[in-house]
Amino acid sequence: MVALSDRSGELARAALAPASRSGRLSRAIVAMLGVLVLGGIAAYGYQLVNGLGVTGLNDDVFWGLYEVDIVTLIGFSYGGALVSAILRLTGASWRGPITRIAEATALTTLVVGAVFPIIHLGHPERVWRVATALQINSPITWDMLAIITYLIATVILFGLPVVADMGRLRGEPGLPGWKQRLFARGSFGWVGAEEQQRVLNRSLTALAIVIIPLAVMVHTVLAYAFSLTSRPGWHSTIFGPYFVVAAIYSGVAVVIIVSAAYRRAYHLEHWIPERAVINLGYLMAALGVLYGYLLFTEVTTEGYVGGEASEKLLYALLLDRWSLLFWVFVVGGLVVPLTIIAFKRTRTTTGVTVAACLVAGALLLKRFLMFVPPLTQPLISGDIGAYTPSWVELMVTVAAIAAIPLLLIALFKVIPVLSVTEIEEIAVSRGEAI
Amino acid sequence: MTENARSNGGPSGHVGIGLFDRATTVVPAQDIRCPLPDPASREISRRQFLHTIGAAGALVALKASGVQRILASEDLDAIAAGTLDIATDHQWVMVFDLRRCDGCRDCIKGCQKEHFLPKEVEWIKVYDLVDAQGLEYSMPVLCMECENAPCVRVCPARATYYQPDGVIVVDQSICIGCRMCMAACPYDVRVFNWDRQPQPPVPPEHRGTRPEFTAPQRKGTVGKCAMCVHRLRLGEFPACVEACTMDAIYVGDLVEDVMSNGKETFMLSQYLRANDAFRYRAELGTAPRVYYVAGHGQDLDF
Amino acid sequence: MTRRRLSTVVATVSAGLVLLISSASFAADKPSPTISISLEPSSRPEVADVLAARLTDPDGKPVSEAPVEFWIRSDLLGERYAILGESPTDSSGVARLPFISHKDRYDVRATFDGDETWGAAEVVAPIEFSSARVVEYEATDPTQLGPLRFVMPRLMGIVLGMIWAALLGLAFFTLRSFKRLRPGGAQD
Repeated sequence: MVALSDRSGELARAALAPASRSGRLSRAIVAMLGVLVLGGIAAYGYQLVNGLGVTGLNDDVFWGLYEVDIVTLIGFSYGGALVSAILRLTGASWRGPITRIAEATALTTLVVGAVFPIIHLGHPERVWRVATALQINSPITWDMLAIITYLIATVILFGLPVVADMGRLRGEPGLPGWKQRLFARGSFGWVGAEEQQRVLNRSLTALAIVIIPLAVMVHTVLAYAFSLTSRPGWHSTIFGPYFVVAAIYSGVAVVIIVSAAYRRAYHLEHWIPERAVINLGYLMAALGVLYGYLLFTEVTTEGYVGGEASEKLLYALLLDRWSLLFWVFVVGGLVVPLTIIAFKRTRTTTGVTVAACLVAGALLLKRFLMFVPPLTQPLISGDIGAYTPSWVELMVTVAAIAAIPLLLIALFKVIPVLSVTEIEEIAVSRGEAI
Repeated sequence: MTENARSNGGPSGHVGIGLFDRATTVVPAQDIRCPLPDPASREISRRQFLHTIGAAGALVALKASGVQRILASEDLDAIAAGTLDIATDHQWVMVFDLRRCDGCRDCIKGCQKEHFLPKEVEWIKVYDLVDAQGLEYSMPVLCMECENAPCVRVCPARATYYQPDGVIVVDQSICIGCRMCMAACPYDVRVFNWDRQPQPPVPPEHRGTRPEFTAPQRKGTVGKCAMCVHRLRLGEFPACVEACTMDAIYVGDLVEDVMSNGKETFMLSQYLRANDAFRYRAELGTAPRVYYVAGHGQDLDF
Repeated sequence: MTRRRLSTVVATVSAGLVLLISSASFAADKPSPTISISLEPSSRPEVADVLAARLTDPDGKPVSEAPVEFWIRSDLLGERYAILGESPTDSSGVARLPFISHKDRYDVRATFDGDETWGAAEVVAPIEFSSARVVEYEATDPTQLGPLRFVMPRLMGIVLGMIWAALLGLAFFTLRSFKRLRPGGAQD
């Protein structure tokens, strides 16, 4: 306990660091992100007035960049759930410094991603009808129910440790008044007592157990909106697992990026050791191998005896119209990141972060390749379709990507960026100094 | 009349629990018959027709002059008020005789005229295909009004649903524009109202706000062919049937077992059997209501 | 010309005229046969019923080798007749057509267009079919998975509801426990 109290003050200060510092650089970043978000909102307003005709969509390719955004952003949120929940259940002790960032990333990407199913509607003001009509056979209804359930679980998974941290940190010197009052109310009487800690651990373990199948369910029903149709390229039994693995893969990548960013920005190198980032990199690499295996299975099955429509689609993807994008994805999203993590020379925090950036971007590209090329293939006969996202879709997408760090920055002004309670608890249980 | 055909859920009978189920007005039949204005719609036997080319020529001339009655809104109001039978004892189907189709696309023009659609929007599409011998032929495709429709199953807002006489409609005051039905339809017959092209103006007396007939089409919703069921209930033929200059399109009734293109009338089951009619992509289990008689335009060379 | 010769001429001419006119009108007036229609018992009842049309001349003798067309009356978008088929009469003057009915009662029409000997004939009569023989339209579920599609989504919905209850309950009870377990007694 002596070792603990030596550094616990430093830990607390580090956890609250993003709240205090607000240098010129961070202000400039916030301003830029804010401009991008406002631009996206303005573009969406334009779409609300003029209808979906302002997008690049047409009767052949009626689902495009917005649907890619839905799946990609909600996919990002699974990584956070995985890092927090699965690592807790497996007892990985290195998870301590990362769980807060992971859960926060999961929450923000989910919140931003959950807006897109409303953005892609022709009549968003009628979205309430999905709840009243309750067409229980519809994948869109499943989407709505699954996302709401997952959102509830993620908020609770994020919120309970925050409550504990608020109790832990309310007495810290240097807290502004409003924060002291907020922490006092939000701590629900947490003082770090042993019984309270036991209750918290039990609840978080139960939540971790529940949230893993919930996350699987969310991404599977997102996949069902595509695979429960009879379109070549979509009607594949692998879509459920495909989406789930892609989600975890890209989600872990985003957790790496956010961890590395905060680690560098607020000099948290001591608290987020290189080992934690490298371990996340290993996790990401393992998922990458799994994703590569699923991709290989899909291509082989469709290519060997897929029927005329599947053959045309596969040819277009691998060798013809979409081949550049496809192979850029394979190299940039699978080969290069896995190579970076495989070799010790490149397996540094910088290397892992670069690999993670490549993965996150490549998987956005892969979702595009999964959704748009099958729609360009005519179902019966006729000309191949075409799709170019319009400026409206691009601006909204960029705004969404900018909104995530903006929300994270805002969040960590209030919430501590490290889960102090958890780090201390892990150290105590292992008899170590923090 | 079996229970299934009348229910609001197609053959599998399941539309869901439905907190707000749609009720369609069912009133006892009042036989409203509107005789067609052109005298050339007299019944003649098939044999006679094929031999009397002169009559055919006269009919073609009459069709080209645009003798096509467009529905007035008081007709639609009469349907809404329930003073017109919503045909619970009919189950509509359509038959396309590909031996007569020449790919002229008059059916598309007739449909667009009836529904005030811009020329880029096609609810009936004509595909120019090549058969196994390498010969070209044309095949019109419209909404199959499947008895086991994937589109009805996936609509999250219940905006698209079965009507008692088997036709599937889209209620554009409910449709949220998610386009899930467009993804689910294996025949590619649904279109979205992107509202990119200027719509032809709809005179006030021809405006429609019912799911069976919505003119002008609402922006941001899905539109599709409804077999002109608003005309069928008034005793009129669908727009494409009337517009087809080759008499290749028939409308039929499974309950009465009769089909007609306005000039020739056959017993439906007998005709389909005698001509080995098929349904397109029936192996998907959608149970479409549109039949095709295989051909490559061979009846055009008379 | 004597009066006797004139009357002979007039008589001859008028007789000739009467003969001419009567032969002409005789030639224009083809006899119209009578046609009746009935339902015959079928030799293969599992396949079809048999519509039979009998064509007889005004004397009651059968008219053979005459093509008879069979129609059913329908109200499809106006009154119209649907052709079923054509069949020639046999030596006993009966034309037969196999028929599978989809309604229990049809108005069946049989027509004979006439030829060099005979004029046209037509009859419309209601024919009733026993319900055992009627093949009514029945909508079928082409897949047998209807019940599965009904049960599974509802089951998933129930499970989901239970999950919501569990999650919210978990959060509520955890936060309440924090307050209760605060050392120094449970003060809210």
